[in-house]
Amino acid sequence: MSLAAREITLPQTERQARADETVRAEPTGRRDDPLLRAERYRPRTGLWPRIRSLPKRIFQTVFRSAPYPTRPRLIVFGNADRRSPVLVTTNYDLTVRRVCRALEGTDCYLLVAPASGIDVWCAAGGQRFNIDSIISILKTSRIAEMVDHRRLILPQLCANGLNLFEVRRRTGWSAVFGPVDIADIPEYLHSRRRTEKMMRVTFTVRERLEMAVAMWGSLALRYTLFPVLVFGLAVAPWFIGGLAVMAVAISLGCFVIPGKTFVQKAGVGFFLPGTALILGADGWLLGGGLGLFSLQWVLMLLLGSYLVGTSYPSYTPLWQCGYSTLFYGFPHLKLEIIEEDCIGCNLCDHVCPVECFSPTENKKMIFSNPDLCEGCQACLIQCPTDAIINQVADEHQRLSQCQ
Amino acid sequence: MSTSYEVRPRFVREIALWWQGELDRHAAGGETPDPPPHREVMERFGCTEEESLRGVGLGEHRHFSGVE
Repeated sequence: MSLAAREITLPQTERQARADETVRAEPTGRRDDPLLRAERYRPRTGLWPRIRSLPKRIFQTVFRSAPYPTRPRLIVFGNADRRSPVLVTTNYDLTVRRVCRALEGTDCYLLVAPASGIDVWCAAGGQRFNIDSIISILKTSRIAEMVDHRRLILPQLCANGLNLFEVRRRTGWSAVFGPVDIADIPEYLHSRRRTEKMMRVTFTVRERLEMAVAMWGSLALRYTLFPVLVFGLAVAPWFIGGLAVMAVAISLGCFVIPGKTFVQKAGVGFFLPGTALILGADGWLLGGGLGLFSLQWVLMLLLGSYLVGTSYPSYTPLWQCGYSTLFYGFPHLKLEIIEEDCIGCNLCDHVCPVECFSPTENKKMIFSNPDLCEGCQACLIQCPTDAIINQVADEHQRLSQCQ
Repeated sequence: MSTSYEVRPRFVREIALWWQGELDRHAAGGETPDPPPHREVMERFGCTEEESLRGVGLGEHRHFSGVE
């Protein structure tokens, strides 16, 4: 039976799937046809599925930083055939649901790779989404038996941990980067061209609000215990409420509140004016004493501002983390491009989520916006001629050799 | 990133431009050929396997990213 015929008659329900698998697979002599085992995407319609998934969606919105794994698998969209594109994503449930929604109406395959249930950016950066994840899903899905080509479309945000050339070396599959934003995938599949917009990370008001809710949930869950232990249970709702206000305000005001890092923004935006307000209200500035109540609020404000400020860099790929400078006295990354090794391929610029690079007159790239760099190291990892080096790492290596 | 692989940038660039051109040419006819075997590229350009791998990979990226 031809592949096209099998696709047209693919089963609609699980029970029917089992029956049909027996009936249809037997003539081919292979009961384990990977196409029959693959999950065919069907959009959920109706009110009940939405209500049933509501708790999960709320959890994933509020506690976004918590891993939420879904089963690694192959999902078939539309009338995917042997020439249809093969996309890859991580097995973070929220990501998979959103990618599936975006791929409705397209004809393609989606490989959900094992990555500990973490989103693409964090999983790749933390090496949970790595070459082994790709090998694993390629083998278990047996996608090679379903398509004639050997080409994968990876999400661009995995460029900080997954090298394009390493994928080909280890798997034999060629890999290219797709768009950053899930919403751009259908357009990319149609045109197979990435526009400038598809390569950059945005931080729209909606995305910032989502970030604020996610950060608030994570911080409240992890840190409410500390003020409760010091000041008693009564402060818990105030602390949680304060975190919510700060998270929303810093998310929305991040472009206008002074300060380079989020810690500075939180300090300038909340701690300083808040402390002035509390102390002023307490009459301390006018010669009065600093009461326990005021001290409690100042300490809570300090803790809240610091927690909110330090959490942001790990939530958004748009700002560099100030930890390394704060604790070690130096940044962890200082990039340099070796001019004679640069071939002007622009790959560094294409994988940079924030546009740090620009070409010179002779088409060689320069690191023109170091202030924007958030240290993801995607350029360093992907450069095909190793023309980009990290001066900090090189200096450390030199010093350790001297010792 | 310094790796254990030594590549000559000139070869990577030449191979990338060649393979991008091949993909562009085939795309005009509605085809998308798979990457050529390394041996074929190595013989054609007199390069190493690593240079072939990176050059072809870069050519693929440039074609599918719409780089002119």
